[in-house]
Amino acid sequence: MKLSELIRMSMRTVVSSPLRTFLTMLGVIIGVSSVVTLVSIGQGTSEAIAKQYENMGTNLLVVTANGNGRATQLDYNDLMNFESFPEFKSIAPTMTKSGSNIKYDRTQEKYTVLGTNDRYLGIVKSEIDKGRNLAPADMEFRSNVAILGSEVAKTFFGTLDPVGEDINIDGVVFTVIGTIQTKGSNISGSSIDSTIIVPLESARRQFKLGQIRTTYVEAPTKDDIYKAQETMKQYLTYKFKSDTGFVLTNQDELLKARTEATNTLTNQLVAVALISLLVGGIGIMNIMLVTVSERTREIGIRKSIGAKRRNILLQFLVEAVVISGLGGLIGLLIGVGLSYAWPYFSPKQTTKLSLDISLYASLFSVLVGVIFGLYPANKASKLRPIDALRSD
Amino acid sequence: MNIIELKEIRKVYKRGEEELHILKGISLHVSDGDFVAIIGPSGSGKSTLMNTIGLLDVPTSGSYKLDGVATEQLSDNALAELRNQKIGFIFQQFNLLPRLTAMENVELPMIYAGVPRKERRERAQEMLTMLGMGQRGHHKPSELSGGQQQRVAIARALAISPSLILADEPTGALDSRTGEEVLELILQLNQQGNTIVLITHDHHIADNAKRVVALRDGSIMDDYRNDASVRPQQQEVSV
Repeated sequence: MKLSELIRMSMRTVVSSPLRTFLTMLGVIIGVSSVVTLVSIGQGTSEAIAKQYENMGTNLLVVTANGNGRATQLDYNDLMNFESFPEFKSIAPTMTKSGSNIKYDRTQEKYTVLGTNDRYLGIVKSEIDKGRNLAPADMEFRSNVAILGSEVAKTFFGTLDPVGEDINIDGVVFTVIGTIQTKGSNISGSSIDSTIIVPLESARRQFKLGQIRTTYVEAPTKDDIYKAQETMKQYLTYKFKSDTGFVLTNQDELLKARTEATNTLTNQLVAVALISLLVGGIGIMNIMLVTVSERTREIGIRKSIGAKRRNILLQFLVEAVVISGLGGLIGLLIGVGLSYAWPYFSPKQTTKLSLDISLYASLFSVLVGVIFGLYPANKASKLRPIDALRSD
Repeated sequence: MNIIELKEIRKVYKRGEEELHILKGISLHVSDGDFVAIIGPSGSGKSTLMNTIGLLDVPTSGSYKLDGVATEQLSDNALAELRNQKIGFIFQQFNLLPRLTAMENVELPMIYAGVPRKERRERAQEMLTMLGMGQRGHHKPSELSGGQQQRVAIARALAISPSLILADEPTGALDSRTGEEVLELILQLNQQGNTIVLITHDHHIADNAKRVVALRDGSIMDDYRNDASVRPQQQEVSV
């Protein structure tokens, strides 16, 4: 007996009671569609995280000094000296004053002011929109010049060009020399768009900021970043006479950790979805067992006119596989649909459909049909024709 | 040539300590082209005998040759194959598959025999036409009358050109007029050379057979040939 014959036979049975078939499939449909959707969301998240890190630059080392007092002071020139080391490309020490009062004309708003040098924009992968970046001369002469994030520029100047205008930061007048292209938020949630950048020394003087808290270091390559981290660690341990009081955050490591965390979460969700697929399989087995006892007479008739055990076994097995396979296919379609539709309902969530996981999930559903169909099918095939014929 | 050779067939059921002897050593030969009616009251063992002949049940002891093939040592699969190739069943309750059309029901034994689709279709149509059901191939059993269902069942029994047609109370579920028609059909099949074994408790039906075997309490009580002249005159019934 040919397989095509068997499949045709099973399809007949499967479509002859659509509601029951649908209910039987439901577990598999839910299982497969959740696996596909959850993996898409997981992969979308991983990718979004990777993109955010790339936005900040992956060859990035962030040095944070968190101690207080003279012993943990970092010196700007000392830090900049590391630029002569091969594993350092550029260094941008920073000082931050959040919630500074910014005034221009009659507009007043609070924004973060960041004091740094001309390297900063390059390290965080931001570009000048209008005007110019900070220059070494601005650093040297401690000029009161400022670069505005796109949101800041929009708040005070709308569509007008702010370059050359004077703004008031906490009572001190700064001249706007440039604006920064819109970037969006980075991984820490802060955005350069709502930041005002001024020369480091100007910030220190005008706003009485004590110390360099955060220093951004860019390495030439991903490998150098680990070397740079080691160098920094030795230097800071020596300088602070302690290996506490500072934190070194390696962007590459951070990305890996985040990706791993996302993957772990995704795997756990998929495991739950797989359990529902398994439960779906048990549902199939349940219905197939009912079907076998309901159709005992049919089995008897078939055996009396020449069906072998193999024929009956395959008939019921193929039926289970057709149900689970169709369920898998419907689940796949729903999963793909949900993966594409998800971002419309939850705009912050990106999804990325994983072809191989989708394929595996569908194949797994077929496997579920085989595994859970085997027992009922075997039971059916073992019925003795005489007993089967006698049943009503 | 004997189609059926039964020798000392015994069937014993164990019910707890008690042994029930259903068949007590039946020996019976049925020759090619014969029409044998096995008659007996309920409990006489005729159903068990029919199941044994139909290879649906295995006897406790004794030997059974069907169309020259010894059946005692055969596997389930080999028995299924023999049933498929050599026996056409006609049941009291027709035993058509309710979800399949008349045509598909007739095709069923050919599917298990591995007959290609096209050939199968043609043969099934031919059988249905022969039985006057040529226009009803696409009907489901539930859409057919009892007599029509039995004709489909007969078409199914004939589809593989069996060596033996085994009919178990074939008119039992039909009204008397339809029953007559079906009996007439069976007589015609016998005239065309088919060997027929028919189980019944109805003496009127047994009177139509060439040979009558009477069972009682698991043994053959009587075995006689109906005189052809005594057999009721055949009526012309359109089929």
